[in-house]
Amino acid sequence: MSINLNRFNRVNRKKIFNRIERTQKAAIPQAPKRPPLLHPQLDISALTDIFLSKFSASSSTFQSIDCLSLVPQLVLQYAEKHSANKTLVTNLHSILTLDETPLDWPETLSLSPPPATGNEAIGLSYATTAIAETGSLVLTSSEKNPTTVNFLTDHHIIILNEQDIVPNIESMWERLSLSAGNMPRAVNIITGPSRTADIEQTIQLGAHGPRSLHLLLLTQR
Amino acid sequence: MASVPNTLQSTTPKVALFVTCLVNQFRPNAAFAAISLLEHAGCDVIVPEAQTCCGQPGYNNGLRNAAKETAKSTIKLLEHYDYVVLPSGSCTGMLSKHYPTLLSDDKAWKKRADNLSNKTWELCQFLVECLDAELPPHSGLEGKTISYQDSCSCKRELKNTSAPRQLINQLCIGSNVVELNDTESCCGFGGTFSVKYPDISKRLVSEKSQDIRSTGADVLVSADLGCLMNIAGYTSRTATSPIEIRHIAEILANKRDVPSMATCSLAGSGVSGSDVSDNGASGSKKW
Amino acid sequence: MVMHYKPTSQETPSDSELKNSSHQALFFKAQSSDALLDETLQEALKKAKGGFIEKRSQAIADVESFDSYKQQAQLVKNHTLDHLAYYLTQFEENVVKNGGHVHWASTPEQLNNIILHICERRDAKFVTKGKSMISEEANLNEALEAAGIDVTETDLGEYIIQLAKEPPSHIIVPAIHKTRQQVEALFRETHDLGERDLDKISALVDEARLQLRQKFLDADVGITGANMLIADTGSAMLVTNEGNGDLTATLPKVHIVTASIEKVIPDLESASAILRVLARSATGQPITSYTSLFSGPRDIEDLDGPDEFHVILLDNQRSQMLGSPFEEMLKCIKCGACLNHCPVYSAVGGHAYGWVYPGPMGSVLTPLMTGLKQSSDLPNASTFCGRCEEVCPMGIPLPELLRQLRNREHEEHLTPWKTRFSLQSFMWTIQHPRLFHWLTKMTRLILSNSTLTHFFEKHLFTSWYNSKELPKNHSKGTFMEQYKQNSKQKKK
Repeated sequence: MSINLNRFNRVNRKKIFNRIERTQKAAIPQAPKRPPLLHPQLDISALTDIFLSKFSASSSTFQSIDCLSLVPQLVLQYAEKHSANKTLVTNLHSILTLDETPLDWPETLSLSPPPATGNEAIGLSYATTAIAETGSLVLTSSEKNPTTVNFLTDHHIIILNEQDIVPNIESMWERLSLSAGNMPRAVNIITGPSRTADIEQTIQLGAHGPRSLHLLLLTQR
Repeated sequence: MASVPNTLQSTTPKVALFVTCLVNQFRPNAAFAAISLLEHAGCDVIVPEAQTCCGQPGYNNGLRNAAKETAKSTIKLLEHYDYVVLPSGSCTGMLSKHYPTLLSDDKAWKKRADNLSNKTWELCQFLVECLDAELPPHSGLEGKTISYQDSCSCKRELKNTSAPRQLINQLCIGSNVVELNDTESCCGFGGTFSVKYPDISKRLVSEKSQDIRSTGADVLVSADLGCLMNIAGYTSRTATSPIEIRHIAEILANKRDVPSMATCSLAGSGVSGSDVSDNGASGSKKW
Repeated sequence: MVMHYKPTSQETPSDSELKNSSHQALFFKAQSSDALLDETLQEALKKAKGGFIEKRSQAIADVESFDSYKQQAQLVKNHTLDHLAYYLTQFEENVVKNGGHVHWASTPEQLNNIILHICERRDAKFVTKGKSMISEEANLNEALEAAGIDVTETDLGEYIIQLAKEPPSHIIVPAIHKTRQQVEALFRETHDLGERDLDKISALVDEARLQLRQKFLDADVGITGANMLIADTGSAMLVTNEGNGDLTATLPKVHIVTASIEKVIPDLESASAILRVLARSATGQPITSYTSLFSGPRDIEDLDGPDEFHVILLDNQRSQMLGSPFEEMLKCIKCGACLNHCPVYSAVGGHAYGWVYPGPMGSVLTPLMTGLKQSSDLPNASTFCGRCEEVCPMGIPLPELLRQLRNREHEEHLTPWKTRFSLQSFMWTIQHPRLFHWLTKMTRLILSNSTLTHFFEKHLFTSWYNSKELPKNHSKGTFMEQYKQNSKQKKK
């Protein structure tokens, strides 16, 4: 079957808009003013505590670290505890600044560069920001932080800088400062491991994505 | 437009009782109980004789125009009283919520509908919120377990859940008040729904009836006759031990000389309310 | 085996009506009665009942003011619907700015045609799908299969019903009507399992994960729905728990988003307001595991993601609802709370409703989308208990909308003549008080005679009498008879 998609779209679009515009003014050039919305307010001084309590409530775990150089050992420990397969997919080295010491990965971990292929047991990425209100980690897709790492691995470990925790969903968007034409392909707000309750409403972790989610919280000491 | 009666002139408010068609037909005792409660609370109760039905069956089944006509004649009949009181949540909702919507495209009638709406009350809510009434003396409920079924219209349309409970608690010295496990669910009456979808209705009322049984209640009351007819009709068919089912006004007014709405066909003959205490599922039983 | 309803107690429609996929809605009454007798279905429904209600009520108790959350979300939707043309235009412009394509479909068939066109151009053999109610409206899977394309549903519930060749029975839990034993049997029938143990639910979930992982990796095109479309950024927002939507959107070369036109909202701040009520109302979670924003194809530097991004916007009668008494229905965010709290849905399950949207929201949408004549039972399948409206995060007056549909049925003479006649007579009678009171007296007299009562029970009130005793008046007369007599005596 072949249709002229452009023409098809033009005709349909016109029909739909005609019907919509019966009831309201034609697509007015200036933006309508959306009514102001209220945002839930949180105790700013307790952001980290609020975040961690909500985050833990989503069946996730965390450890605090004060230095990135601890990451390889902690990843190894996590892998030893949770997975027979010690393969790790990450692009973490690309976010290290020049003055930071390169990470010293133990040989027992077999590292592979992204994208994830489904064969790696552990994925390591970093969160751009995190939401205290919901206990969510927010990851934006990029060369440094490819989306497949978030979904194709069995265990997902995410690094978050404590300073990047914001109070609510709105402040998260503000922090990301997104605009059309400049969007990361994907923004993933992640709150706990993959889950399903599709069989007899019984919650099971690890439906399609990671079976576990672990946070390494980089605190400022 | 007639002037609003000056309630300050007399201390006894003129209250029109709209008995509702179901009470009129099947449970006159509930209306007499309502009159006695209102009079005991110091009201001058009038029952306008030209009243019929609030029009809900037509309104809920697509006969909007016919319902409009009913609304208008009901408004004409009742608008001159200080208050209009009904022993039914759903009919109260019809007068106070739906008449104004129904007549919203006619300014003059909308105004009259709003006026009526403002002085229309469900019986229990009126007794508690408007009159802060004392109940007449009562007897015979000692040792009984009483439960209350929220009708959906009382609960959701009128947000009226505390008044009936407050009243029941007032008379329950020496008796037990228990809540159903599920106070949110519909009993499956739904007016014409119960005859359009009898199978679904039966399922819903059987669940309700199980819930009632499981509380061990001897007496079940509600403020809507539709729900009561539904529950009593099903219970009469299925119950092996009798339960006293009544309109809430009847126990509040101590008018329990008319038999329970539920008979107990499986246990034999219809058992009257006053007999129940001796052989019923006793309230002292732990469930 | 395709699910087939055998109407038992109603006349069958003509063949031309049967071609319409919505025809099953015509048989609600018979289907609901069958459902009540289906023991396995009842077992599954019993397991589901209560869980959602409890979780939702806990979730809203956990926040300071859920009512204020609801208000904010409703503000967003009301505003957007008032300016729908503007926001759709803005959304389209911004998708293009992000390097994506927007397509417009008036009808479900057009939506299918567009998707087939894209699949054909990319020579697609394998398609994975995230859960999309829009594609259910269009019966997309059938269209893809007819074109020789291998399509796999990846949401676990959708996957189960795809294997069973059944439609979804719930908008967020499509396989809610299946017991674990039924799922196990389906997997044994369709997967190469050998002797493996599938007793536990976790084993079933693992089995699906294993099977579907390869499908994700093999897919040429991924099709997802969208919970919201963000005009300001040109993005599709997808809310899931399993992560299947994200895999579907990330791994194939082409990502197609199917959404209806009312899903557009102004901006990300608006999305936040809706997110706050969506998961709490649906599954009782503060937020789901994954909330993702997709905004176009991969960038040049990206290491993964599709190289084509399409959004197909479906109207399917929605523009007709705008400005009509049913406009409120366009505020629906498809959370499923009205289904979970509906006594009728809980008793009969979703399939009885006969089309993709069951429960109260479905009883409004199905007639509007597929014709009132084909679904005239649905608006009546409600006790008007009002619980749906109470739990609806968008405050949609569902009972009132059902009542409006009943008005239409009456106006269009779609109600059975017996019902019509009795209601009209009743409404006429109550306008004539003397006649009314004379008739109530007659009714009372008839019902006090046991032979006559028996006749009534057997012939007139059968549907009530089948399961319930008729109400009895234990007094000497109707209330009015007695009241008048009392008044006379008093005067004397």
